[in-house]
Amino acid sequence: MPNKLTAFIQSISKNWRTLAVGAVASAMLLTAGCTYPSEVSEFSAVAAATDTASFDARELLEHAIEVTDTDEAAQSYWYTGYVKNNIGRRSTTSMYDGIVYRPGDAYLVNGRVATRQYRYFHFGDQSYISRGSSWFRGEPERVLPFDPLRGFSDWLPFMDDAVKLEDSSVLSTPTDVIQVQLDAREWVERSPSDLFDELRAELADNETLQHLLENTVVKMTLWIGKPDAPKQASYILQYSTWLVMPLPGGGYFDQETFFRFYQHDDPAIESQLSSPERIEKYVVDGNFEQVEYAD
Amino acid sequence: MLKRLGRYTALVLYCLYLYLCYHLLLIGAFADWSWYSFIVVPIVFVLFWLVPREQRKAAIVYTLMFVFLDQALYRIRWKEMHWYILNAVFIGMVIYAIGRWYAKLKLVPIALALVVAFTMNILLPDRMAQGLSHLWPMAVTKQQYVGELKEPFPFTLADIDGDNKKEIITIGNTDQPARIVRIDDRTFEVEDVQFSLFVYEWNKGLKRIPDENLDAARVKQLVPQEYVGFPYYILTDDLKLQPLVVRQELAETMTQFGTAPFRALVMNAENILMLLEQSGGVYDRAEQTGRFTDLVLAKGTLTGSYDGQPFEVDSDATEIIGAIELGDGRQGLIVKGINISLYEMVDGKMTETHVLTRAMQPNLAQSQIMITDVNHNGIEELTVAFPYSIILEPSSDGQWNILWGTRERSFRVETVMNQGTKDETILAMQKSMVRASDTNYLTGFKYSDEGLKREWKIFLPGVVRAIAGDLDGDGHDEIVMTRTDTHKLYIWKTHGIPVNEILIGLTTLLAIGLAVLRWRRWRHAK
Repeated sequence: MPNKLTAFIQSISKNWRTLAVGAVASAMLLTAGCTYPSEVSEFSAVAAATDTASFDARELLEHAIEVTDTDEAAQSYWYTGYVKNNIGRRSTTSMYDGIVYRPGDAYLVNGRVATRQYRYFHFGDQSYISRGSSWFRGEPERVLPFDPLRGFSDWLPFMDDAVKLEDSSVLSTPTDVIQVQLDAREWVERSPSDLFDELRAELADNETLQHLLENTVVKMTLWIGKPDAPKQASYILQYSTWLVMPLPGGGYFDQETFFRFYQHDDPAIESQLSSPERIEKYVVDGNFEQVEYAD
Repeated sequence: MLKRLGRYTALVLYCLYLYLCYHLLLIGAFADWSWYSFIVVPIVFVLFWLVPREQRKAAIVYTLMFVFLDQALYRIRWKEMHWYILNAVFIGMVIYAIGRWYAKLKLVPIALALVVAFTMNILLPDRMAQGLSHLWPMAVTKQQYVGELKEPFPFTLADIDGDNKKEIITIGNTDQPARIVRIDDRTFEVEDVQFSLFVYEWNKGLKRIPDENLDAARVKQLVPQEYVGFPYYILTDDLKLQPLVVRQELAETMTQFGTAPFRALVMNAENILMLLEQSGGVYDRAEQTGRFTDLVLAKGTLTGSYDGQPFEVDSDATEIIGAIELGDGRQGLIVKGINISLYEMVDGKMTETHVLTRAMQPNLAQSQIMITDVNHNGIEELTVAFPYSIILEPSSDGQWNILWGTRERSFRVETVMNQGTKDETILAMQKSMVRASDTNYLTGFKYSDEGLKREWKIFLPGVVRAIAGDLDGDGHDEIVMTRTDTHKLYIWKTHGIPVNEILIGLTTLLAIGLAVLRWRRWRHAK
């Protein structure tokens, strides 16, 4: 058939002969099968051990918390983060990014939870949440004091076991990287965090919980701006925590909680978070009432 | 009259040909055979160049219009048929006006193109045409879920009534219509949190088995626990999908950045404890798999019996994968914890003989494990289906032999079809061999010692999960699949008709016909 076609083509014109022959040849090749050979012949090598050079992680973190909390230029910044859950073939991610303006006690969250998106504004004791294109008032009783540094100091008791990883950089700022790994039972028992109060109380005589936490791996990594960095010196710039937890009937799942803080002292932030009036105009007030069932 | 009828029939056939060429050859060219997509454009140019000059413009415009009509109709999102028809007619009128003005096209040919595009979009919704090259659509279910979650819900195939035909088991919330709530003058749809079982059987077509004919408790156990939306949602034992978080709370707590992982642990622990409470502290159990019976994983131990002989071993595993044939009548048990372990009864003692660690195989947490005998040597293999698919055979020295593996993250083994027969096919999602894009498509492979030999590939977009099983009892497996955003199940069977080859043949014939026509005219003109 291709020869016949070529003959016809040649008999009409020679200008596009090559093209047509190529086309037919390609069309034939198109149906040819192919084999996907194995790309793996041995298992991955075990990861190299991390650097455990001696250093005072506790002091490094304490200083970073203080600087990030009080330095004038550290009071407004952008952030981006996520909580990523890998379970079997599924991965559920919630994402958070936005801006923070501490002098105004204000922040914005562009959030996404399990594919549902929303925006959230916090101004002192006022808050607004969007659903689609509508804005609603947040519930006042759910508003928490805005304390972005809360929780970092709860890692201090574990800093003696921290290791220093190779220096790295976060968006071109050189950083010290510290990491601590432990099991969740130790984390709950030794951390002063009041968020663990309930778990701590329950732990003593709940064997299921003990087993669950003992088998949970916690690995926290912090990226802190180098003290001699031109900008963002000793700021907490990146924060990642991996939890590996047993899941009934689902193996172990991996969860990463990750935040990165950047563009500190950006003057654009203040104007964006100056006052809630911009949103007030769009707020829908009123009570929900059920109307009917959809078809 | 007859001549006109013949011409109209030819137009309808041309539209159908265009429809198939577009969805099977053109999409395939751009989705996978990338080098081929470079020459598609010249081929099309040559074909149109062959059309006699006086009809060329009309032919080009008509062809493009059909493709536009098909694309436009696909994008209409009306549930009600009358709105759909009204939209289609409106689109047809716009297209007709353009065609009339630009290429003097007549009403009937455009109306026929509209009818063909409309019919095909009704018969094969959601781009199902793109599966036709190797699969034949048997049925599509109604939507099982209405709500904001995009990912499909778990489903499985099992013969629940012992008729040697498998039933499809899944869950959904469309038995309850969504509520409509109003605030001020705006209305919102609120999805129902109560889910119910959807069980379908093949009985001269796909039929849903009514709830009253089901042993709900037993069937519910068969629905795979896939943790949809975890840890923000939890599916309770009575099939309620409960959200565990309020968005405002999440925003308020997450911006106390330092506390985020602390809160994450608290939420996970709460969630997992709730699940363990429902199961009485048991991570997983299996009544029977192979010669193993009464298997229970709880509080760090694995208990059960092998050939009636009870055993108990320490294990931090949380999932029982199943029994594996080790040859010579021996059987082992595969469980998944932080690592994957193979246990075997050695000298009357249950012993961990093989282990696959996280250091050996990346992303083991996300893995899906299958037990198959792809090389038919009587020793079953452990297949890590995803990610970084790998087929491993346990050897007698405690090592795993790698039969086949990939370093491509997007590659995913889905299932084995027609297992143990000469038609045995490994179904997998494979991306293009030449493009960098991770978009992958359902592909049928045959295993050989040289590698996986590709038998076929379809370019149906958005396949999330495919499972094979014999639904109609004809001895050949059908393919049941979920796809993104649709929350429906699609049932296909393989047909073995060389559709792509036929289309290429037709295109060649068309080219020859046009070339002959052109040649004759050229000679005549001389």
